[in-house]
Amino acid sequence: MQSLIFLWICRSVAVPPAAEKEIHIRFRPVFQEQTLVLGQSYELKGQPVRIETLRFYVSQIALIRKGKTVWQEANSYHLVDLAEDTSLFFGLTLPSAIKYDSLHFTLGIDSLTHVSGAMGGDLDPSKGMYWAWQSGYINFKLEGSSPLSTARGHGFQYHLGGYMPPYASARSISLRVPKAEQWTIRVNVGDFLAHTDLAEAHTLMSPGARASALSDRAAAIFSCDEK
Amino acid sequence: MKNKYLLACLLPLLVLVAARLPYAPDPLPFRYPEGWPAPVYAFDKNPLTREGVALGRRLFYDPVLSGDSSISCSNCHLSYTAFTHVDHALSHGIGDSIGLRNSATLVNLAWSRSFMWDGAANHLDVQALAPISDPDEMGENFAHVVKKVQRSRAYRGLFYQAFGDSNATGQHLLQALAQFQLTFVSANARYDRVMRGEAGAAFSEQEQKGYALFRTHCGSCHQEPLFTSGDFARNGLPPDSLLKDMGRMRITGNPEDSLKFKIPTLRNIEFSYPYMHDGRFSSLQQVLRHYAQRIPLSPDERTDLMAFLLTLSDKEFLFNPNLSYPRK
Ligand code: HEC
Ligand code: HEC
Repeated sequence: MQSLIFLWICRSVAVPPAAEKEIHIRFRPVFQEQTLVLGQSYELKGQPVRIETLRFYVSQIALIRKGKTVWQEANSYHLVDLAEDTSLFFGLTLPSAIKYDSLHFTLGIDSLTHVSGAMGGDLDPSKGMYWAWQSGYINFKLEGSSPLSTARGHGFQYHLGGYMPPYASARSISLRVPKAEQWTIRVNVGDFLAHTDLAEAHTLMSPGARASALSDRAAAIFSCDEK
Repeated sequence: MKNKYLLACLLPLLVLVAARLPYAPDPLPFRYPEGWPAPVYAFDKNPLTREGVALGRRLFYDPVLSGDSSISCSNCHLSYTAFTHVDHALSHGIGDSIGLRNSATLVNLAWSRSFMWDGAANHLDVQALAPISDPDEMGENFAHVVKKVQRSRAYRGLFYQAFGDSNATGQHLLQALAQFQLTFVSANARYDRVMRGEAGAAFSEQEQKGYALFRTHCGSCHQEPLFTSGDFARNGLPPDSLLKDMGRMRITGNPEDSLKFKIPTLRNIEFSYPYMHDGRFSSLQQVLRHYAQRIPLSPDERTDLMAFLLTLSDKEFLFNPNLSYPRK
């Protein structure tokens, strides 16, 4: 009996009213033309390369029409982690009549959130995306290995973050999106590494001019097939 | 967002479960003396409760918080010495970056805009991540600490009472620690009683002279009533050639901030030796001799200043039984 009531409550609460529709965003990490799989080998400048970690924050999701914001997601913070399939895919509930041409989001975490203390959910500092020794979120984390790296063990680690001017490293990204129910956003890690000199710059774990420059590069690897 | 419908389904269930267990934290108003500036800490985001403070106190004294369960916050911050590590110039314990500096006094933290000698932490909640985490592991270790706490039955109950969620999260753990530390309010030194004009409270002639000297030479940085303006400054200490600590510049990258350190409070200064970010001075006499190199202070004046500094000791705070090791 209890479970019946429970089901009834579920139905009445959970069935979305017809005035809304659901759109899904899927992040699809790739290495150039290949789907990116952690631990698998790809080719970079004639050498093998493996990716062990790819995690980043997507926040402040909004929809744009002719340059104007027509919708914003409330409490919009998503930690996307290639090691967690479910984090690559999430829905947005929109008014069904809404019209838009572009998706807008921030790669990383805004500065106000940065100075507001301990947060929960995807922003919980125990998610491994928070610097311990100096307050601040890591907006984008990419780790792996390749003989191209001159570091011990040939590893490379890019932890991009920093919220204080002039080196604030969260980046705004705008992508034109199709009129479909699912948007697939490619994240081309190969492109990021193709433009990075692993011999010279293989480890970055603090805010500053380099983190800021690499954040520009990270923002440029996001694209959406507009079909 | 993805969980919206799931949540809608679970909500009635959660309400049923919660109805059985009492989650009714007792709000604890944050009290501070009249005439003090408003606190900086955003209490609306983490309201003090009796249960939250009790949980924070338990955590503060529990070595479970260090990666290898060997030391607790109180190892370096003792209540009887204004929560600093007496007699140790550079704190001993986990993490290289911590070993670089003298342990800080923990007092009146609700008024601080930044934490650590160089302001590396921008909020009291997240400050604790530095001592808890192994700097080499970049916060991964904190997840491990949270897991250890989650496994403890006793903590499950305490987290539930404090936050309505028996599963410890990083957020709640940090907020509880902050709640306990926010209660470290020292505002009842003889200085305070004199300022409030309490019956029987008065400065001696020497203390009065010292107070006047203090206001002339020290008060701009060590601003009353907190005895710090919260800013970063250079107080003329030559840099230590071995430690090569650049202070605030490490955080801002701005050469103008080189060798600037956060102006420390002087409350309970009698007890928080050794002094300065690297603990280079073991006595207040040495500190005053240092200042006398730049500020004209005769030996007599230094004695007067010293007498004044001793009026900042707040025994009621230092021996407050609510702040010491929690006996069950
Ligand atoms: C190994 C010794 C050690 C341990 C353990 C330790 N601390 Fe500290 N603490 C320090 C030192 C040293 C500083 C100053 C560091 C700096 O400025 O870089 C400090 C600074 C602080 C500050 C900043 C004070 C201010 O006004 O700037 C707070 C707050 C604090 N510690 C709280 C804690 C808490 C909470 C814990 C337990 C989770 C803890 N500490 C564990 C040594 C320690
Ligand atoms: C220009 C600002 C400034 C002025 C003026 C100033 N101080 Fe300081 N004081 C500081 C700073 C900054 C520190 C910490 C420096 C460090 O650790 O490198 C400090 C540290 C101290 C300490 C050590 C505190 C501790 O917990 O380690 C004492 C004691 C002290 N000052 C007393 C005085 C007295 C007495 C005067 C007046 C004669 C004075 N200060 C004037 C900025 C100032």
